[in-house]
Amino acid sequence: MSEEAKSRLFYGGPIVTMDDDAPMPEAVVTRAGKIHFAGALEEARTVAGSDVTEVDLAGRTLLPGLIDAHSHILWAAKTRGAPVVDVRAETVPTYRALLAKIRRRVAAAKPGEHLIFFGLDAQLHPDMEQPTRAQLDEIAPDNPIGIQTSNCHALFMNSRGFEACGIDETTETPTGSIIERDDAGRPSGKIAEAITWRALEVFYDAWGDDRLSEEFHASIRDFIQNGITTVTEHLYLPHYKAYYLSALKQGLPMPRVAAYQQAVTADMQVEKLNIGEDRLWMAGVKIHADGSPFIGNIWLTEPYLDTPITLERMDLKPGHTGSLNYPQDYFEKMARTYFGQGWRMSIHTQGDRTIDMVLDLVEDILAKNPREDHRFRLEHCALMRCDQIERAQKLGVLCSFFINHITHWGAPIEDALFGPERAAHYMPAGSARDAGMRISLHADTPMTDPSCLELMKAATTRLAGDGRCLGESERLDSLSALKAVTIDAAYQIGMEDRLGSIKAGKHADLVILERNPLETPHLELADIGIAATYLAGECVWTNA
Amino acid sequence: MPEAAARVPLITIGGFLGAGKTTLVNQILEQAAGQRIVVFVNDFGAINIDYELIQTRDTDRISLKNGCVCCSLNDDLVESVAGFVKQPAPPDAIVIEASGIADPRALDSSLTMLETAGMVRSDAKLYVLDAANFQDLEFDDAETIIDHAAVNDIVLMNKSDLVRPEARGKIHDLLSEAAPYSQLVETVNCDIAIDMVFGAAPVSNKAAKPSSSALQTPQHAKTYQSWSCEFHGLLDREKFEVFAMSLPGKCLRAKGILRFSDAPDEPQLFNLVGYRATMEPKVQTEASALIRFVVIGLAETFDAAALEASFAQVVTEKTC
Repeated sequence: MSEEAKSRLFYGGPIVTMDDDAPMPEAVVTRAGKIHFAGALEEARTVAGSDVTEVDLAGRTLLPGLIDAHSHILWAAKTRGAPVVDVRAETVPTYRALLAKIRRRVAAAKPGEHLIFFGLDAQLHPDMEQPTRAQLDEIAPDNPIGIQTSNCHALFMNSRGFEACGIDETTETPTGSIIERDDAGRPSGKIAEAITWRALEVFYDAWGDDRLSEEFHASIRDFIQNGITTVTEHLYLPHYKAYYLSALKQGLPMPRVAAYQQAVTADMQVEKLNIGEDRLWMAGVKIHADGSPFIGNIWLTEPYLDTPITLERMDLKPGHTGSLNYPQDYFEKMARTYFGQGWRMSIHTQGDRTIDMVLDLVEDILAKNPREDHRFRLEHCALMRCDQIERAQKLGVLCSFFINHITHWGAPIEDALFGPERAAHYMPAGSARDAGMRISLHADTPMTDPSCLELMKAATTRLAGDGRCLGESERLDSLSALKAVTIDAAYQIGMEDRLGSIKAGKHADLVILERNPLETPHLELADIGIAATYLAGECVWTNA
Repeated sequence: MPEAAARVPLITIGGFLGAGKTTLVNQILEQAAGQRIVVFVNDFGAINIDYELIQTRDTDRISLKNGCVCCSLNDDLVESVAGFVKQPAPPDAIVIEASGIADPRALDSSLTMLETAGMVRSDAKLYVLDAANFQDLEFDDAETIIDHAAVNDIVLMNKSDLVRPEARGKIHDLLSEAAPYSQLVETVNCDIAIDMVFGAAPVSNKAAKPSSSALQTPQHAKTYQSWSCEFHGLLDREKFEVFAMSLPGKCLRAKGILRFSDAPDEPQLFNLVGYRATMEPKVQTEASALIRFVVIGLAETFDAAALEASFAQVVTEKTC
């Protein structure tokens, strides 16, 4: 009998189903990849019959497999896997140290070797200056190099890098992207938004497919070891498909992938993918309405604070209120087109003015083309205002919060970028929960590491790295936080009938935790051990 | 929650296999001199404690006659630490030796949990680097060590007697760029003064006047110097903050009980290790307005006279 077809009976510890009809059954039986039964142990034994493997939880807690509703499982492998050099401020504390590390790596490089350094951070590298093309040429005259910001949205390159990517003074700046130039129109070092990701593909290609396959395996392992059985690929591009298919063909325990194709024009083909039994499917279309709060390209009603970080390291003008990525009519045309084709939309929005614009658009679209179950999603939602949450809720718009911003950048968000009032409602998950919205939480891996338990800790404590709390009123209770990484995350990706809770008929995606997260102090949530992960009834990882 | 001042200082030791972490643990246990120290070690079998010093020995715990305890580092670090801290007489300090290759940050979430619970105060983070083997490392291994060193307060450049001065100079230059918030100390057999590890306890009754002295360690008798003072009086808070910010680079450690003119009845416990300083309210155990302050640094860069002069600028009131 194949591993997948095996029948298993789980008992002997708390079973948190996230199903309101049977929240804490004694036992669960899985069969042929599905949940077969949840209920009393005695009945479970009868139902299971003799050909069953019993799994004694021994006091540990069984939950539905965790879901990260906004991640990039393949792109994480491309962006962060070796040979990308990690220069995030956690280990490379200053800009000077970062440049020194680049020099050491360049000195050890093969002639012509492509090099990417990930993690330059205007908020966390205290002496940061914007690297210029000339400076990078001096450091690396013979190798194409790029320094990517930790928020992923911008890239600084040397001349060899620009050459490799085919970007020069004759290159038109694509709508929605940024190429900084000198007076003669020659790219001066920095590019941002969609063109960044296109340029990086040149480096990833240079490193070859073997490297990517290996790093993709590592990325898969990373999610599975954290009990995450469903992820998204939020910048899906058609040529990614081959890698997932190859992983599935090799029998790798790839979490289920909800793909959201990245749209940069209104005329892209979006394939109605559906591979295997809910292993990879096209969940919708993603568009970046604005950019990152950490490089200044988000659209705000109230300006950024004027501080050394915003004015010097981020190079913003006083009173900066940012802007949209695309001209408004261009963006609206894309959104209307893909919505019109029947796709569910997932819009990257950080600034409140951007959110106003998107909500206006959704209202107009729904007035003209009413659709019952549209599940229009807003991604990240850093500076969403309370009135916007009410409005979103009325329109049926759902928010997915990038709550790890608070743990990783909480101090500069409050002190350097937005001030205490806006910081107290930054990523307003509590207000959205109070409004009755089915929210999700995400780590946006590769931006932060995959762990739904860390997301729960961040959302329930809202503690920044330096120990301060950003907005106690926006804290979630444990149950709301757990819903946001299980059943409500499943709802946002349109799979609440098959994933996100333990209920007969659903996929047997499960995780065993060393402690029950609903009874663990918030501060200790991230330290709960993952004992085992099950995907489609198959045990794909254990800590034993 | 226990009073802040009751929090037990917690020190971590990191470093690659063979760098000298266990040697450092032994140094600490031998030099404990009356302090009750609890040490958690990764490789329990490698601990080589003089038979004469041992009181009892179990499978995962050795109790020493001097009151120190050495435990095996197990899965329940948080619980084990909490167990010691909650004892009626908690230890004076806790030391954790991290596992060989692991990222030193792997301990961070446990430490944060213990700190937030008010049980420990994260004190020095020490990293042992093997100077003799550093120059022969593969590029990736060297980079890993550099990354790890950068998140520690004090880096011991150990086995420094086995490398030429030029090689030592190279490591100095490299780390001054790559690990700007770490202080580098050359050691042989990890012979760092225990006061450098724990911060000198500013509680001696003899140093009523400013004094400076050389610290005694087995091999490097004159490597370190200290300056301390003790008097009744008050300090200017703003001036002290400026003074404290000038200390990194001039010393490795500073510690004191301070009183400020804007809140004379709220003594503060000040701690500086490397580039990291903390200040927290101290439980008032004595009525007097005593200020105690001690600074320790490397002899070659230490200027006791200059420290004394700048500290004098901070004092607003002095009665004896």
